[in-house]
Amino acid sequence: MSDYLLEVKDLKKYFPVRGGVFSKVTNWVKAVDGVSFGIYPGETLGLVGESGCGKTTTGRCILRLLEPTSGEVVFGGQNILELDRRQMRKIRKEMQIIFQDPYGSLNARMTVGDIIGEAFTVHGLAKGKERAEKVQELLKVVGLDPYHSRRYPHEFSGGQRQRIGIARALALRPKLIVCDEPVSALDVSIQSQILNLLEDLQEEFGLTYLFIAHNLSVVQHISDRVGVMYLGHLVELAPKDRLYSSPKHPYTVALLSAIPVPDPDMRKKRILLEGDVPSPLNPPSGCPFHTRCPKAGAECRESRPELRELSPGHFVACHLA
Amino acid sequence: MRSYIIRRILQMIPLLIGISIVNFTIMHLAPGDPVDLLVERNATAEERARIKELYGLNDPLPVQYFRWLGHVLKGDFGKSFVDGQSVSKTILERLPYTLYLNFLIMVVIYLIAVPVGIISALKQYSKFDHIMTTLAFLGQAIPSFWIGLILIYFFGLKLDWLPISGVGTIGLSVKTAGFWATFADRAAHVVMPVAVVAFGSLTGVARYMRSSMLEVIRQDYVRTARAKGLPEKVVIVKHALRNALLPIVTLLGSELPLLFGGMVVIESIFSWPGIGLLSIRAILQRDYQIVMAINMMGAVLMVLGNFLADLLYVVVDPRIKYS
Amino acid sequence: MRKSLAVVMVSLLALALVLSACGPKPEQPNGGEPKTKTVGGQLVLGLTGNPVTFNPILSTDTTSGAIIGRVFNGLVRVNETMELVPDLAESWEFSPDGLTWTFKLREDVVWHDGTPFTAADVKYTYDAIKHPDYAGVRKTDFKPIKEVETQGDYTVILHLEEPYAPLLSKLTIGIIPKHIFETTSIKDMKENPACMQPIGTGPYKFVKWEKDQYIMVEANPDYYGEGPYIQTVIWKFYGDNQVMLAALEKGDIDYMGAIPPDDVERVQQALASTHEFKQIPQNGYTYIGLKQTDPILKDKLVRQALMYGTNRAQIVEEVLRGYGDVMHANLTPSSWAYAGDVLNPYEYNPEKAKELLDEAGWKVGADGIREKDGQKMNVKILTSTGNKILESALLITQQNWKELGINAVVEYIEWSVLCAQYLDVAKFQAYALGWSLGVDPDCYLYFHSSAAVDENGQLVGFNDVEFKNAELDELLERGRTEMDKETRKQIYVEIQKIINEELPYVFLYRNNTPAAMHKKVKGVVWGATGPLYPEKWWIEE
Repeated sequence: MSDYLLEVKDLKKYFPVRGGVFSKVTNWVKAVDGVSFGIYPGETLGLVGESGCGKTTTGRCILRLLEPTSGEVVFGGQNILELDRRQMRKIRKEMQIIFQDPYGSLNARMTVGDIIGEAFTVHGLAKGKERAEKVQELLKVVGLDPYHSRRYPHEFSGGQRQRIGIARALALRPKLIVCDEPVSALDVSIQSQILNLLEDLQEEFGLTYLFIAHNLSVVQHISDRVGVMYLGHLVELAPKDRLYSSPKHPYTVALLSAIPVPDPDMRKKRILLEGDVPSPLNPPSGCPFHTRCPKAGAECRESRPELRELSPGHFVACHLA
Repeated sequence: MRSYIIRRILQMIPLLIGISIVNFTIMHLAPGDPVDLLVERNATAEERARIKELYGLNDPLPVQYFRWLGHVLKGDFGKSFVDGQSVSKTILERLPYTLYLNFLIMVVIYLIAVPVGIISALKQYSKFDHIMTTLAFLGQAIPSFWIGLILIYFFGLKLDWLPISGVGTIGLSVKTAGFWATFADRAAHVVMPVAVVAFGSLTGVARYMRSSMLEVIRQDYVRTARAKGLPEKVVIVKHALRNALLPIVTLLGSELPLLFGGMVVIESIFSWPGIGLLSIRAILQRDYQIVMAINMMGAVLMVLGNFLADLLYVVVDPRIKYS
Repeated sequence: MRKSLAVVMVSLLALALVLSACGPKPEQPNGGEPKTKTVGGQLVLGLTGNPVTFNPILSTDTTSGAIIGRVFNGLVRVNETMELVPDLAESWEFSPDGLTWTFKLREDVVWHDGTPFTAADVKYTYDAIKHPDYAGVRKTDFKPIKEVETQGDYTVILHLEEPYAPLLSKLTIGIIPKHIFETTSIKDMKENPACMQPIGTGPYKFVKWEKDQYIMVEANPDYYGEGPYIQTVIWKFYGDNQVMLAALEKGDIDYMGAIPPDDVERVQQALASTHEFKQIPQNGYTYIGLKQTDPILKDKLVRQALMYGTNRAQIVEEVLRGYGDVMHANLTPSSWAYAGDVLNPYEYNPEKAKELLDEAGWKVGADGIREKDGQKMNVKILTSTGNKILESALLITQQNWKELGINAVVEYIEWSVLCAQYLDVAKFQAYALGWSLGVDPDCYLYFHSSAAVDENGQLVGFNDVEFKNAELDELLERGRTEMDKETRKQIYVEIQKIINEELPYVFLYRNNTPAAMHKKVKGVVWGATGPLYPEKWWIEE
């Protein structure tokens, strides 16, 4: 399928665990353990899972903010994991990221103008007055005032800061933006403003989003397709409507049942998952979900289910589906 | 901002008076007084009592305190009970030596510790990092007088490369030997004291720098910088280092008073005629006037150092504003 | 019958011959007079303390004393057998009643600033000490002087309240220049610049003092006596003894006066070819003071048992590494009045000690501790912190006493606390410390009953153990007023015998500190308490 803008193939990221007097590597945390998916140009792929499931790591590996252990990340027909530093810096113009924490992701000692404008300088796109104009234009695009460029991040509210983060990500006119839980840290009232902004921008600039979130309700609003991750694995991937109407993986079913419903009269059976997420240090054999799966059988404990295409575009990794 | 500065300065006055009362009381409550300690057992009780009366040491403590305070407010720290010399003169005589030594030590520590800490952080768990960690433990665990004596033994005595004590060769000056010979002589004398203190504290500052740097490079804004496509050097220096240096800069502010305080152990091992040697002797002799003057100098510097550190925050961190 | 100087001198000489049998022998500089004494050169000495003042009448510390000794002169000085010989005074005589002392001064002495030295300077110095505002500690020493009279420029007559023989030894104190010091009041004498930049009459002129670095003096060409030969003398300051030792080995200093006993052997081997090693006997001793009114210690048999039962020879051998002497009474072998062999040496004899304790009624109890009338034999010895040698000595003592059935506890107390709360108020059972002694054998203030505690509980002299013995009181009084030296010696021998028998203290040891002098320094006279006559030394490279 070469019409993907971005294709991730069998991506793995293992973190070393150190111990003992000499900090020797004693074990590995398999944060991402063989994830594959693709994103079409102009679409939004939601990536959902509990904290610790590897979704953020996946997002960072795609941008090579973390160096993956193995796998391929093909962007525009090129495996970017093979690029050297200089080539990689060039391709960064095309793919950007918006972080979850609007406080930590902006350098407190730089003005908004510098934070947004720095990329122009580095890539030799604009400087001086031209840069200032571009920055002001970007601020207008994300709904801030141009004069804000002389201020420091701490002078803004959380929502405004996230707008700054978006402006910064937009600056280089990227094709792909990884939105790493961009609204989780914000007040609910602000969340939808930011989500609407992201949607508007996607339309205006023809952006492609990888939208990472920890619950399905946020993703439902913005995504075209949704992937569900559990313990470093992609367990289900389907077009949004299909996933929400007929989820195939027991984990997805459980997650969906957890979405709060605004209508108080509507009663729904909530599936409560028992136990904790197993430690990625010591993942269970077989299906990673079998320890908490209400339906798990003998097969689930023994062999790991592969991601299969149940119906066109609907992939599930479950023996029982 | 101006009103903040004025308020802070006004607050210092009662603080300093309070410190002086506490210091004065503690010092006078300590057993023994300058007369007892100076004459040891050479004089009869009667004779000692007479001398104490002469010095006003038999007056009630508040009377002695206000007499002292009165003089200090007029800018006079009085005369030493022990040798009768002006206290300000005695301290000013020694201050240059202490400043000279401590300034060099600070420069050496920061020049080495900051890069070492950065490299340790960037190459966490590497061999370099392990060696530095081990050295840090050694530097803090080995008493400095011991390192001092070892250095004196090897470099001073066995190898005969360096002089073992003092600030310079007696009689050697720019007039008698020319500038460069004098410079070389003074430099040779300062190598070991600086090395000993630097070894002890350098590694600590390096560890501080390392953890500060480690904390910063895990921040999202450093990832943001990388995502912008900035060269790694720019990411480290402009985004990470500037923020990681923040706590180090303020550490420097709080170490300012130490710069004047002198170091007792090093000064006595290397016979360095600084404030440290003066103060330990003054304490042992209960030379109240000198002890009070040094204490108050320390207190003023501590208060000012903190104040400056706070002001420094405003300069380096745009988030902080005082009103 | 007036005792002329000649008589004094002859008797001194005779005494010197007698004493040479027991006291340390004065060294002859390299087999008599050398042919040529080189003029010039530089001598560097090591110094650990910080001098306080170079004013001889205010100074109390030994560090200042070393410099003062080269810059100032007294009317008399101490020779190699610790006897008093003329210095600024050419001769002196005592009236038969001992109340009038007439000193004839040298007429060829000038101060370092060129002003002639006269009797007025002597009068000024002694009057200053007697002045009510005087802030030094010599007042007691000069109390017997009623009046200082001058006759012309070169005669000083001291009128005494009562005959007081020890006074002569106090006249070793340096005379200070009247024309310099009269510019400040006696009360503010300390602040006179001449306390820091002294002007004296001695063989060396003060040049400069860099605090905590060095003190430099240079030869005084106008010195009235022989010498000086060495041009410059420098005292280099060291904050640490080990560093000073390294400086000696490196050759930075030519003389070190107190080498730590533990290092002597190694240094002696390393520097055998270049340095001369000597023992410097200290005129002082270390002891355990025993409260004479304590229910346990008031019994003479107990005190003698403690003396027999303490292995003092072992302490000198092991703790001092042989650099010391066992003490039996209150005068050291350095003194001309030392009693020597007539004293009971109390050689270590635990059996004898046990017998004495049994005799005194102290029987060994079930727990091995002796007891009498229901009281356990517990002795608490106080001492000051920071003296390693004394600490080790007390460990041995404690062990020795335990074997006798005495439970001894040693308590270490900071010096100023020890003074203020125990010694100055004479409240303790026993304590261990040292005395450093003067030139004169007089020990009135230490053992006379009137020097103990007065009716207000105030300690009058140094008799904090409250030793009271009528016979001794009488001898101590006679020792002070008797002017004839031979008679005085007999008195002090008697005094030592009584003290040796009655034991106000357990006498432990005196130190002979090891010292090293570079062999290039010639003409050094090793006296009873260290190298003497620095003006006569010279350097032969």
